[in-house]
Amino acid sequence: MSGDFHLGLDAGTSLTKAAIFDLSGREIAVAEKPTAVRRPHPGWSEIDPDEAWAAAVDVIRRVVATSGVDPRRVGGIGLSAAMVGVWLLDADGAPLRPAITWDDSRAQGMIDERLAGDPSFLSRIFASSGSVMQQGCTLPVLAWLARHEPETLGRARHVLCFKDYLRLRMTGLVATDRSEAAVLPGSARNRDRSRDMIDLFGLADYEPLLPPVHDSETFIGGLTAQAAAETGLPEGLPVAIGAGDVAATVIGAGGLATGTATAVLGTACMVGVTHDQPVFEPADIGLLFTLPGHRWYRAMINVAGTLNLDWAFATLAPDLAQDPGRFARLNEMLAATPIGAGGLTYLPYLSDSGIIAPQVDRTARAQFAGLTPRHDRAALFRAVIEGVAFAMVDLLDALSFDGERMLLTGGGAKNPVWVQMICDLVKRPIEVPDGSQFGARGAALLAATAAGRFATINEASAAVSGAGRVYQPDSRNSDDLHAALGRYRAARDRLLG
Amino acid sequence: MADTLTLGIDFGTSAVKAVSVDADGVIEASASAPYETMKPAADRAEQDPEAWWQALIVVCRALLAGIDPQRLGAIGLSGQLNGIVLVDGDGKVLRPSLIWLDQRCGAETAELQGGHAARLIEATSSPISPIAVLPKLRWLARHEPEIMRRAATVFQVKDYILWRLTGALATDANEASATLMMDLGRRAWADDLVALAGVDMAQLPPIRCSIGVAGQIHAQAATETGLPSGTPVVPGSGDTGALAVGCGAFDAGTLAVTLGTAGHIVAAVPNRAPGVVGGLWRMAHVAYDRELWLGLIPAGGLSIAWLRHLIGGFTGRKPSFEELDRLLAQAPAGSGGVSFLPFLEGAGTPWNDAARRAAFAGLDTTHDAASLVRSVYEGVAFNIRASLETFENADIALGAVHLAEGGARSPAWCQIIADALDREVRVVAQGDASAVGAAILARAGIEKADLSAIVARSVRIERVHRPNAGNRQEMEQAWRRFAGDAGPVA
Repeated sequence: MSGDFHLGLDAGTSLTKAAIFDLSGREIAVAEKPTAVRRPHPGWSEIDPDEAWAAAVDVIRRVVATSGVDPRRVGGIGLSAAMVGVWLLDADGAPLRPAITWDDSRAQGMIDERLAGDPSFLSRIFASSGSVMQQGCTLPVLAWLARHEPETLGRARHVLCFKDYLRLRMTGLVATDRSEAAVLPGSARNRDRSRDMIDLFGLADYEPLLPPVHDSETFIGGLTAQAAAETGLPEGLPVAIGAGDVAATVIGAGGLATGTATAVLGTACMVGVTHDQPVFEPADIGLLFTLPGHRWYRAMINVAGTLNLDWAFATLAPDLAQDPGRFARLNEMLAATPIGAGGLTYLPYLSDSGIIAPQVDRTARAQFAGLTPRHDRAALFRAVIEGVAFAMVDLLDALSFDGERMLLTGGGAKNPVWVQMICDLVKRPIEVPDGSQFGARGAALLAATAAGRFATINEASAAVSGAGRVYQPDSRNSDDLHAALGRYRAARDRLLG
Repeated sequence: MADTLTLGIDFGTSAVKAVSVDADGVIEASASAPYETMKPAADRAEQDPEAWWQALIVVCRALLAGIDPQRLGAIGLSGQLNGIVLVDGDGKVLRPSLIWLDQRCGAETAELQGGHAARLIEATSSPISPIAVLPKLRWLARHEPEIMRRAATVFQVKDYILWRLTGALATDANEASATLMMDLGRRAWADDLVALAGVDMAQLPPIRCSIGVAGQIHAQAATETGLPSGTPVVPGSGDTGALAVGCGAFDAGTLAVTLGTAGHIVAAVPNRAPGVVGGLWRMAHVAYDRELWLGLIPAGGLSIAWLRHLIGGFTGRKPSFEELDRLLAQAPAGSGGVSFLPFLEGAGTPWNDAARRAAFAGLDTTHDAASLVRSVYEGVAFNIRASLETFENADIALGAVHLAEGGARSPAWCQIIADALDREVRVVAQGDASAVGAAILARAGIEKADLSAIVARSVRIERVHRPNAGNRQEMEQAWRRFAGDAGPVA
C-alpha cells in the first residue's frame, strides 16, 4: 500500500539528519551530514543556505537508498529544523546573505540598549511569548539588520526560519508554522505572531516580509520537478508544514500528552512538561513552545548537558577520548566511586552562556568543588555525571513537575547508569524511547497526520510511545543521592550568590 | 675552625633528617630515616619515641660514614612542635607520644576558648587550637591522671632527644611559644597557663637559649649513635624557628615560603603588643628582639603531588615535575580563567577554615589539562599572596621573599609565584631548611660570631625570579578572580 512510510528531515545547526519511519514509528534508516557553522565575528553564528540545502538533499537521497524503501511508498515529507534566526531571501527565494542562526548573539548590544531605557523590556516579551528571549530570535536579529544592513534588508522579500527555507526549496512555496511564529517572539496564547511584539522591535514596516502561518500537520504543496530531480523522490510528493525542532522532538518522543515530562539530555539539556494551556510560571525564566495539537511545552534548559562529559573526556581522559569503548570505561569509573563522589561536587555551567535556568547568570562557569587529596579521576567523572543529573532536577523543580510520566532522550539517555541515577533522583519511572531521531520522527508524524494516517497529531504521538526501556526508581540510593544533591545546591548557591 | 662541620638534626612529622654543613652553609652529607605515625582513632596521632631514637641511630651512622667524625664541631636540634613525651623518674617513656596532628582534645580546646581566651591571647598572641600542647596535656591530666602523676618530665620531641643524647634538660623559646603555655613577651613559662594544663612547673624543662651549648654527647649515646663522645649540643629550635633560620627569614621583615607537603610562611617581625593577627601563629624567633609569625598553606606542596597523581590518572603514567612544567607552559598566564583554590586539606592562612575544600572554578570548554595544571600552581601562588596581604595589613614592612624546599626546585613555579606576588622572589639553594637551620644554630654555639652574620653567609640564594611585566595584566585579573572565589578573610 502506498504511503506506509514517511520521511522526516531534521536540520540542526551543525548536523542535518533524515530518517524514514513506518506507521508504528519504527526507525527504518537514518542518514546524517555535518554542516559548517561560521563565526566571522565573536558571537556571530551563520550558515550557508546553499550548503544547508545540499546537506538536506544528500541525507534524503542516502536515507532512501539505505532504507531499501521504494520511493513510491513514501507518503510524504515532514520538516523540522533549528528554530528562529533569520533567512533573508529576495523575491526569487535566493539568499541575500548567510543565514543567521538561533545561537547568534549579535543583537545583544541592541537588547542591552533597550533594557537601559526600559528595564521591563524582556519581561514584556515574556508576558506575550512565555519565553526568555534568545538573542538569535527572528525579531531582534531583524532589528539588528534594519540598523546595520538596511540595504540588504531593503532588497529582502522573505524572512524565513530554517525549515521554512528548506520547504521553499522543496515546494517553491513560502510559509511557516505556529511553533515558529509564536517564538519570534510572538504570542503563545494566540499561537501566532504578535503585532505588539513586531511593534516593540519597531519592525512594522517589515511585517509583510514574514510568511503566512499554517498548522504544522498540513500539506501545502509537493516537490517541484527540480527538487524531485535533486532528491530522487517523485515530483509532487507532499511536503508537510512541519515544526521547529523542539516541537518535533516532543511529538516524536511520544510526549505530546498533557502532563508528560520530556527531557533531552543532549549537548544541551532541556527538560519540559506538556500542558493543554500556555503556562507563564515561573515568570521571566525558561521557555514556552507552542506545539501542534493545541499543546504547549514549558521548558527549562541547562545550556551544557553532555557537553560537560565531552569536555571531561577531552580534558581529563585524553587516553579515552578516541576510544570507542570509552562509555564502558566511564561506567567502570562510576562503579568504582561511591554515590556522591566522596563529597566532590561539579557545577555543570560549562557553556559560554553560563546558567539560564532555574536562575540566570551568564557569567557563571563550571566548577569542581569539595576537592580533597583522595579524589582521583574516577571521582571527577562521577561528579560530572552527577552534576548534570542534579542540574536536571533543578529544572524539573522549577517546572513544578508532579506528573507520573517522564521521557528521556538524547545522547545521555544511552547510558543506563546515568538514566538510573536521574530516575532515582526524580523518584518516578523514566521511559527511554526506542530510536535515535525524535525530531525527524516528529516531523514524519506531522506528514503522516497531514496524509490522514492519524486523526490528530496527538493520536500520532501517542501511537509511537510505549516502545522503549522503562527504568524504575531504586530507593536504596535515594539518601546518598539527595545528600549529594544538597551539597550541589549549596555549591550552586555559593557560586550564584 | 673553617674545616669544622656542624650537624643539624630535624625530627619532622614522618622522618628524621640530618645534614652536616660547613662554615658557609654548604651541605657535605645528609641522611634521613622514616618512622611511623599510629592512628589508634580518627582524631588521634601518636608516635613511638623509641622509633625516633632508632631512626636517629640509622641516620647518624649513615651520615658519619661519609664524613670524618673528628671534623664534627657541634650538633643542633630541630623538631616538630607540640609533641608530648612523658618520662618517669627512671627515664622510662610512659606512653606513646601525642604528636601535633593529634586532635583528641577538642573538648579541652573549647573550654580554653570559652573561659580563658582573653588570658591566653594576652600571653601567647596565638590561636587556641587543639594542635597545641596545653589542651593536649589538659586531656591527659583528665583521662590519664595516673600517667601524668608518674611523669617526672614532660618533654617535647627534640628536647627528649637532647636529653637522651646529653642528659641535659632544656627546651627553647620557639618550641615553648607554640605550646600556649609561654608568655611570648617574657619568653618564660606562664605559671597560670601551666596550671591550666594540669602539670607542675617542675615537670617542664627550662627554656634555654637556642645557641647556648646545653650539654655534650655522653658515652652511651656515643656508643649507640657513633657520634663522638663529648661533642657539644645546642638545644636548637622548634622546627619553625629552625626553618626561619635555614631559609633566611632572619632580618626583620624577611619572609620565607616553603612548599613541602604543607606550605609554611615564616616571617621575622619586630616584637609588638599582644593580640592575634590574621589567624597567624605568633612565636618566639631564635633572635630575642623579634617574633616569628607563621602562616600555613595546608596543601601547598601536596596540591602538586595530588595533581601528579590526578594527571597520572589522565595519562596512565604519573608525569615528572619537568613534564608538569612543560604542561603548564602550554597554558597562558591566568590559566585562561580557571581558578584553583588549594584547600585540599582545608583553608589555612589567611582564611583559617579547616572545613573548606579545594575547587577548580571558572571552567569552560576552552580549558584543557594544561589550564588545570597551571591553575593549581597559580592557586597556591595566590594563596601566598593572600597571606602576604595579611602581613602587610598588620603593618609589617615586608623585605625580601625567600622560597625554599619542594616546590622551589621548579623554576617555572617560582616564576609563577613572582608573577602572582608581583614581587621579586629569591630561591634558597639548600633543601631541608629546618635541619640546615639547626646546623647553623650549632655553628653559632661554637663560633663566637654574630648569628645574623652566620645566617647571612650560610643561607645561599641560587636563583632570583623577577615579575614578568608581560604577564602582569593577566595575573592581576586572575588574582582578583581567585580572591573573589576564595572569599573574604575573616
